[in-house]
Amino acid sequence: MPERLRLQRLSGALYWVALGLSVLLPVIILIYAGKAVTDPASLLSRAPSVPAGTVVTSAQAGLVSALALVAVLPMVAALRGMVRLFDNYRAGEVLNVQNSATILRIGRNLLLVALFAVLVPTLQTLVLSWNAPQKILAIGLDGGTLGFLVTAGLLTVIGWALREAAQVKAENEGFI
Amino acid sequence: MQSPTVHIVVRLDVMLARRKMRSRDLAERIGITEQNLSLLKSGKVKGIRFETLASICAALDCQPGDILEAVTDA
Repeated sequence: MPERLRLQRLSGALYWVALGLSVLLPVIILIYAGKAVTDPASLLSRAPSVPAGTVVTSAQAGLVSALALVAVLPMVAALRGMVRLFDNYRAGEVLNVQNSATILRIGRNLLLVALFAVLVPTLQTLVLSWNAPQKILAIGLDGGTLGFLVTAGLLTVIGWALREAAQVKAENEGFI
Repeated sequence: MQSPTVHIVVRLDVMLARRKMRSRDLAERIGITEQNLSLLKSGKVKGIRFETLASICAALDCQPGDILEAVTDA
């Protein structure tokens, strides 16, 4: 069954990619957060809408970093879901209800990623501009965010379809 | 008025005894595992494929009605 072998082989590689990213991503964010807390003014370079020279306190930098950490959680959860999914796929367990539930969870987490991609930068800009003469509330929706929304929807539909397929398979297995 | 409940009983043991054939030999001839044949004999399956039924009938030289029986629950 070459399709199954191909699926197992690619899933084996993707398992390590997802596992690596799920560990690396929080570490990178923690490094950036640490840098931001020790040098709050450095945050202004990443927030062009906040006027240059605005005073950023350590508390503000801490809050901005905490928001960045919160924003990365759904992506880490999605990656952990992918790790579970690819682990099952590489073991040859493809059509089961557990995998479809995992795909649905990944879809929900990617939806959160998209929502946080809109909300978190908005809140971060607001926090950073707190001491500026005018507080700034900038909401943005880019192509990447829309991509996450579409992917989340696609995964949800695929999850439902796979649940249906897993039920059909389970029913079929009851026949001799 | 509710219609009586009917369930299907597998009479494979009877046919095997009539043909003096062992389960292992039948399983081998029709290409299924002994475990699956045992499940079929005990009625612990949801159903039987036409393909399997045809193979059993061919191996035992019988009709589907000789193997399957509709029994009305009391």
